[in-house]
Amino acid sequence: MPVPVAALALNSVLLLGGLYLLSRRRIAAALVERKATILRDMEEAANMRRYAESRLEEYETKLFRLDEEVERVRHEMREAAEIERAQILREAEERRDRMHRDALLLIEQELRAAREALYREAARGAVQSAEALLLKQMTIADQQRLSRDFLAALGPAIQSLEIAP
Amino acid sequence: LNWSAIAERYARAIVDLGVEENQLGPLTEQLGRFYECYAQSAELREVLDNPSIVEPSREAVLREVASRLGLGKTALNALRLLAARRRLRALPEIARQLGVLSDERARVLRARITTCVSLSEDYYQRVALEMERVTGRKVVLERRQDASLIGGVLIQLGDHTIDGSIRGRLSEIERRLLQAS
Repeated sequence: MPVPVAALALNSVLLLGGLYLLSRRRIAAALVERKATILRDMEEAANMRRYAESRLEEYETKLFRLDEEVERVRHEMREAAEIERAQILREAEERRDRMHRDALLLIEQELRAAREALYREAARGAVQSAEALLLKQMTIADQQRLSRDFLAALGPAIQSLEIAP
Repeated sequence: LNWSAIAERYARAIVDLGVEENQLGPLTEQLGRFYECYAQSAELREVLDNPSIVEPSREAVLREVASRLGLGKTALNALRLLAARRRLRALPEIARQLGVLSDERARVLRARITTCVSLSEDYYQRVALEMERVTGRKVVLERRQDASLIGGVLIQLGDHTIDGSIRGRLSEIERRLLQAS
């Protein structure tokens, strides 16, 4: 015997009603969660938009002041170049002064050595000349006089040696 | 081996012996004579220093050499002792120290006098007398002649030099000139 349509409809209503009663709380909670997520996303989007707007404003300001910035950078580079140039110049001057001092010292040493060598040579030459002259002119009388003088000075000379008696 | 210390001990002992026997001068002179012979003869050194040569043979050689050199008993005994104890190698130093000690005992001062030309005997005697007067010791002069002195006299007295030569004066002048530069 065929089931009456009204019975089928009643059955469906009862089924749907049961299902609603069973899942009503979970669906409500899910909806609340969903709403919170959407609100959070909207807040984040608003923040990002504000940040993008501030950057845009900053870039616009920079673009507006670009000439000024370029001039500032150029000025800074000029100053840095000037400082570097001054430093290089100072170092070069110091190096030059040091080399100058070293050269002066070297020249002075060489001059002193040459002067000493010259003096030594002159002294030796003078003594050699005197020696040659004395050898030529020394007589027996001179020899005797020298030996007499030596004998006269011998006593004090020995006393000055402090030889134990 | 410290040959110098060994030589000094033996030299002092020999000096004491010489003084005891009142023969220091002759003993020093005899040992000096033997040293000269020992230094000049390689054969004698070979025999006396060779340990493979037996004692009686070595002593016989020593006696023979001593006899020929006219060494006295004390000198021979000293040499026999040195040979027996293998100390003959110290003989040069012993002879040297013996000379020094002997001179000290006898209050003798040895000096070397160098002149450019030969001077009179009287001059050397006056130099010795003057040195004896000042030092209070007997002076023995060893004479030398050296033309490079140019003139004047130079006396070497142990480690000291009394330079009265022209060469010395010129050297002094040169030294002063260089010092002043």
